Amino acid sequence: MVSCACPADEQLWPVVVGETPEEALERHLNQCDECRRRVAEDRMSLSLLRNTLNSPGLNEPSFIDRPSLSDLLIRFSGNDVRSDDDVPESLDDQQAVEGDGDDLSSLLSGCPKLGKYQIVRRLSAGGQGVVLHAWHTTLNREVAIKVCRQAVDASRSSRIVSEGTLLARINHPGLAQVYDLDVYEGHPYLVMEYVSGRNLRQLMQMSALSIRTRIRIMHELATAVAEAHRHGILHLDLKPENVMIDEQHHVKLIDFGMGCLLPDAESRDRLVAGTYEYMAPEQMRGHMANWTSRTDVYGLGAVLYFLLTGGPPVDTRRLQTAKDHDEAIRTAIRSLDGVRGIGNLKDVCAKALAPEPTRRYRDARSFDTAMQRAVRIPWLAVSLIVIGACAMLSAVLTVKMGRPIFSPHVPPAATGQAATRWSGVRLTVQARCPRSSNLSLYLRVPQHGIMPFKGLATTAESGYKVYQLPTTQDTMAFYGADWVLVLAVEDSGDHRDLAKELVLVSEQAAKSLAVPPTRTNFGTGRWNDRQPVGNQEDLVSWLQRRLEDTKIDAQGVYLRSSDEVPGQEPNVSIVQLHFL
Amino acid sequence: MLSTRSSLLIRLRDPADGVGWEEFASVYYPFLYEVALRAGIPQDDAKDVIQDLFLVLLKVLPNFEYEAERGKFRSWLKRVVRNRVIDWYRRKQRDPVRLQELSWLSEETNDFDEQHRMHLVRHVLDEVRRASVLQTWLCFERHVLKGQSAERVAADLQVSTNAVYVNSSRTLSKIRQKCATYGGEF
Repeated sequence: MVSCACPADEQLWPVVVGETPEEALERHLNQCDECRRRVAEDRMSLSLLRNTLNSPGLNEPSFIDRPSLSDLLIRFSGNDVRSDDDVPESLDDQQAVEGDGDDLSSLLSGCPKLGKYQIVRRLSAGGQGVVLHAWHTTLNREVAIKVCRQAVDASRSSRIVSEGTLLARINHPGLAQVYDLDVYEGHPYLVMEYVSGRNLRQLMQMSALSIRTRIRIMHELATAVAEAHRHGILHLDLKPENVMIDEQHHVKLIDFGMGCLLPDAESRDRLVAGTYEYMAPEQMRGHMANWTSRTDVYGLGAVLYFLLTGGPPVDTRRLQTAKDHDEAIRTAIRSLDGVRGIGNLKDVCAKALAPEPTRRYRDARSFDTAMQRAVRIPWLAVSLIVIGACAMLSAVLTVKMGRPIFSPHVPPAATGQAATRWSGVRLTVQARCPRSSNLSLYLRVPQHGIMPFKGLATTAESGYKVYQLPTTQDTMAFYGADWVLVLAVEDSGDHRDLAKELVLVSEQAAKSLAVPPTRTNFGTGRWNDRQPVGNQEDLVSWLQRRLEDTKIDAQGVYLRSSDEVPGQEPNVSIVQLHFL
Repeated sequence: MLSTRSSLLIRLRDPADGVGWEEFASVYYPFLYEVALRAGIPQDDAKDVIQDLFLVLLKVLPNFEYEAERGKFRSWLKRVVRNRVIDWYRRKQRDPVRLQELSWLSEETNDFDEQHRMHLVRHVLDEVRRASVLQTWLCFERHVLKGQSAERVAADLQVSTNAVYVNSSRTLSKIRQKCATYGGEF
């Protein structure tokens, strides 16, 4: 153990590298075995490290004694979160390599700094330029710098600098902050906030996002784009790789401001910027005069398409002409019909992707509004559940307080036959799972959607957790339900195995009841699409939708009051659900 | 001596742990590929051999006891690699004389071990450098790797001598930890 009296690592360091320690330190080292061990350990690592690096047969690691920037660019080009390497090269990549590539590397070689920025590594290289990770030497902060391959003349330079001031003024949480836009030996470069984290493509590859999360991401993205438009700036390169997602799943749009780096009118018509897969037809045709906020609306539609289908709307490698492109977009739009569970979002996506700009949404905000409207139905469903929960709460309060506190919703069967039928019946649902995992239990009663039900877990014999829902019958009596569906879902993991578990519930329930449930067919095939679900909220709304989709009413496990088991205590039915 | 437990290898016991496995692959795939090429297996076949080898590792690693004495993982790995290489020669019915040349993969020499250490150190240096703040890395690189005096590094980088000590010592211990994580000793 290192005690309080022991020196910190850095105080020991001079001893590690062989300097004579001060008297006090030497005294301490003489007494303290632990500190001597620490020094010895560091010395050993040090000599092993140096031996390894100096040993013959090993090529000298490329990062020692190679100070030039071009080397930095090459050697830092490895796996980085924002590397564009997996993106098919666009046509102008090749042009750039043939034309301006040499120019650029000669510009950068022998130049360890770019203005006041110390280059750390290359993040990506694309058609328009190179993105560098750099360090602002005086302000001590990380930045990302996009250096344009194409050089500009002096008159354009001065305009770029003034546009830079404009860009730097825009400040929005969804937009990577632009710090600076300047020209270095004719090459414009844009300095922006360095955003770490994952891009949208990586996020989609790594985890299954719920439809709600996807919509929220789109909403944040559209808001960010709208903000840029408000300042008169088009993004023109909206694609999943440019949408960075932080750990809280918030959006930060990068590469914004590239529009300012586009060359002047004479070369504009020849120029194609952006990434083909996500590029609007008018960009493909190169007529810059036609680029408007609707061009970015297309980009938003393309990102939405990616979120719904997992791929870009257009595979541009097969395209020959602009007409092909329009046709490919129409095919992509038609293919949305085959995507299940996206409801009206399909129409929103289709409208945003319209090949003719005038048929698209006017701007990012209208796109966002339409998208929100399209997904409103699930929200309704969620609020229904909330109402249901309120009604239940009110019932509980009624019982406890002897009079209703509030009554947001008159339960259909406060009086009625079913209520009578359930009164006096004690239905206890038990769900069992290994102690290491947790269950969430949901009840579904007719016409009232799914209610999460917090069962209390008790640890039982042989290490299992047992969840009890002792008040099932009260709930059912309250709602006048003559059946209830109990869903138990394991909390761990991402509920991917939900389908399996639901079926398990039905089968186990069927086995536990001597009298078979009315129907046990869950229609496994239809449940098996394995739509992944994220958090609990998502789960509830997903279940709700799925139950609506599959008309599960006719298919669930119904525990009817008439299912009481003959010969057993008539007032007790126990359903045991095992999660082993 | 090896105080840090081989955490990555321990995590690999659970093959469902995708991250651990990916990390493992990023360290060991290039290394084993190099080894296979050096053993005289042509490029295309080398890829297949390594792919197969990884399947074996995936099955075997979860049951492997790593906490034993240092170097055990490496010598085990060497054995598995050697067996795979020999398998390939047998399957292709290549000249058995070539097999004689594989002595560097045998138990007696530490050629493989050296290669393994070099590869690991290179990988870990690279990884730590990427994760470091530039200033910290430069302190370490100049003072430790290039052997410049702390005073000179401090003056060049405009930091205090103490900062050079701190950065060097922390970076070194990071590297040591990483190496242990990947089943190497330092």
